[in-house]
Amino acid sequence: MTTIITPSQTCGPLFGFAILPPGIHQTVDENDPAAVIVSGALLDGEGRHLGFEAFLEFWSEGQACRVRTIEGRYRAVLKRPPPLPATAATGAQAPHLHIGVHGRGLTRHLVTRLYFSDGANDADPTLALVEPARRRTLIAEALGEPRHYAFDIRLQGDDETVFFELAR
Amino acid sequence: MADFIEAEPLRRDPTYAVTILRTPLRPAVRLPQGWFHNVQGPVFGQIKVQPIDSDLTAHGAGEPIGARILIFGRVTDSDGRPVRNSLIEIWQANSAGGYIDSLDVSGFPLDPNFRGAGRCLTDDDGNYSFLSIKPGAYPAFYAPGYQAWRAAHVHFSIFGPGFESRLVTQMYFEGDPLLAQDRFVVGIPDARGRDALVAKLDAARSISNSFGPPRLVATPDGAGTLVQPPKRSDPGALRANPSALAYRFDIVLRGRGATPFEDKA
Repeated sequence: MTTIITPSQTCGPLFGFAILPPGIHQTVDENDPAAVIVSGALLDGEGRHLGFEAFLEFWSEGQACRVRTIEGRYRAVLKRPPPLPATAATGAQAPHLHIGVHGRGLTRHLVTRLYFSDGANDADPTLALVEPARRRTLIAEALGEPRHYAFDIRLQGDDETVFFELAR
Repeated sequence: MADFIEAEPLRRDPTYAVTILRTPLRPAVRLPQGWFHNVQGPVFGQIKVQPIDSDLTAHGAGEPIGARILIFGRVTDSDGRPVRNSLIEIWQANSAGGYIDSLDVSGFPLDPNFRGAGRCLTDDDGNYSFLSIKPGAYPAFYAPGYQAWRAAHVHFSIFGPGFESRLVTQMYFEGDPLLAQDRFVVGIPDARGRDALVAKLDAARSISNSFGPPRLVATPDGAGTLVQPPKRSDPGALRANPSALAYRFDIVLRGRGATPFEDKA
């Protein structure tokens, strides 16, 4: 018997009333010394932002938060993820967050990773899979304010963000 | 192991214009087999699930307008194993096709007794159910000069155990003539994929115990007792004794041989 994997569909433009309960935008108080505040824009192939039509899910082991874009920008607050030790499968990993990108017009969500510009990224095995010129699309830049980082996501264009999928 | 196929919608679809500039043009970087296939997906501890959250007819001060439906089904991985204790969120229009969302510009009337959002956890066998009302259809603008009515639908968000099991999709209703013109349905080239999103009417599961004649209920002494149906005028009668058409929507998530999802504390 053949099983059909349930197909994905766009989240559509109207979801904010349903899946954004209070507090879901953060996993830790932003004044906590362990917090990182990540913000940026979500942009299409012509550099236009996605308005209110997208939401992002950030997660690392033991934490997850969900934020919507407001006039194309998001702001998420999480605990800074730790570096991950080497396993039988991969070498040690630099601190990173996973990001799921859901939006009107994305018939399946996208998954990318956010690394920190002040992290020890050189030996990260996942970054090593990415062609060198594109790695910077995965690096959040430290802002002047401590613990604040900027990370734009570009769905197309010269600086198209690198997205990932699992080999099967 | 069962065979499985994927039947995803088109990513870039000229008849759904907004896809053209939003779909990445470069191929995704593939993470090698065995690297992160067991990495957990997002788990939202902030979302507290209460039993009433799965009854969308019970979220207002009064009864929402619309045909009652029970949406139920089972969530499995691609090996057919139940996906346990996993969050499902749904959202939908009211019976007139209007969303309570402030960004809805349809102009359809809002129902003060219907928000259109629910959540639940799957049980130990992967089963879930929601009580709701049948959503109305509404017109959508797919591309400049191209407008068509969307089929009635319910949005679903499901997590499952891992990195790749995360799914956001939409459920449709068997027999809806608008299925043939709904771009999101038609955008799935494989008919089996289209069919997988269509919930099937299940007459046997449909509840019909609200009103009607008194029912004979068995008692230990064998004599039985007549139970009077609630009167419509009883406060909360509809809520306590819903009649609802049942629609079955089973969900198969990506990921085979996934580690069974550990129970949350």
